[in-house]
Amino acid sequence: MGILSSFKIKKMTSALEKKLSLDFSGKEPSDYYYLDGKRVFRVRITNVHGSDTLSIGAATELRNTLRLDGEGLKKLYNCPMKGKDYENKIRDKIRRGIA
Amino acid sequence: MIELRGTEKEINPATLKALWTSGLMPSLTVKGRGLFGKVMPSGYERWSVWPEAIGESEIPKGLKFVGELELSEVKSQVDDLISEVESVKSELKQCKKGISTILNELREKPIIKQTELFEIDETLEVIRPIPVVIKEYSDEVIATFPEIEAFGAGLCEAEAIIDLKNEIRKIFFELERVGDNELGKLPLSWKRVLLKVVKKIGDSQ
Repeated sequence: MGILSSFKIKKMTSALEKKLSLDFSGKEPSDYYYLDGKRVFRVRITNVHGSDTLSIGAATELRNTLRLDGEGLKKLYNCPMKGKDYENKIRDKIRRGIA
Repeated sequence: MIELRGTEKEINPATLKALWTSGLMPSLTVKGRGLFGKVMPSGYERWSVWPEAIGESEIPKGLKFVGELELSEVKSQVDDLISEVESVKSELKQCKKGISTILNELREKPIIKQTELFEIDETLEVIRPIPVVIKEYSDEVIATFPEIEAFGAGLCEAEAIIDLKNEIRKIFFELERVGDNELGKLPLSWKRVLLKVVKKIGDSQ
């Protein structure tokens, strides 16, 4: 199976809340990622099937939103990529005008 | 009686067969096993031939050596066949793996088409048709308004579009409520885009 079809929604939600300081308390979790007090991205996790695993489409949109590739999302989902690592990545993209 | 004791390694099977069929060597026993129901005389425990006339029709049954030769040929062919089958099995395994990989890749590659939105809901009026990209995955549909990075998801296109309309409405009011100084480059751009395509005609609940 591909990388994008293996993310558990609960774990992904938890990882994003901790590392990106997001609050997914609504029924359909969505929140803004902030940098320097400004909204940068609107992050949304959907679950159309009621499954505990993120669907490919939702994972693809999440990956696009977060400006990560599949491996990057996997690192964010697991432990290797910390919140600060992600922040530095996005700051770099903002500096280059692509985020 | 022709004794071939101790020379078994040098015996040419074709020669033996020729001797046999010409009647010069009417009977044969191999490695102590008697042929044609005859009792082997003592002293001929190894390769040996003794004069017991047989009919040519009995040769195929009695020709133990030739039989072993044929068996070894058959065994060799079977071994070759087994080897080929193993090779085909291995290739099949590779093909299965490849197909599985392709299927997984296909599952992640949606069919993409485009459409436009002309209506949102009672709170927003569409001023200009909103371009929407529909991504059809094997088990879900994603509808996106790429310019504002909004997407809707559903089990079918209609569900995904309804979800997208809800998202557009949410994003519009989320951005409308905050000052531009709180918005990063992208959200500010989304706000400008939204103001170009929709007009507020009611309040969000």
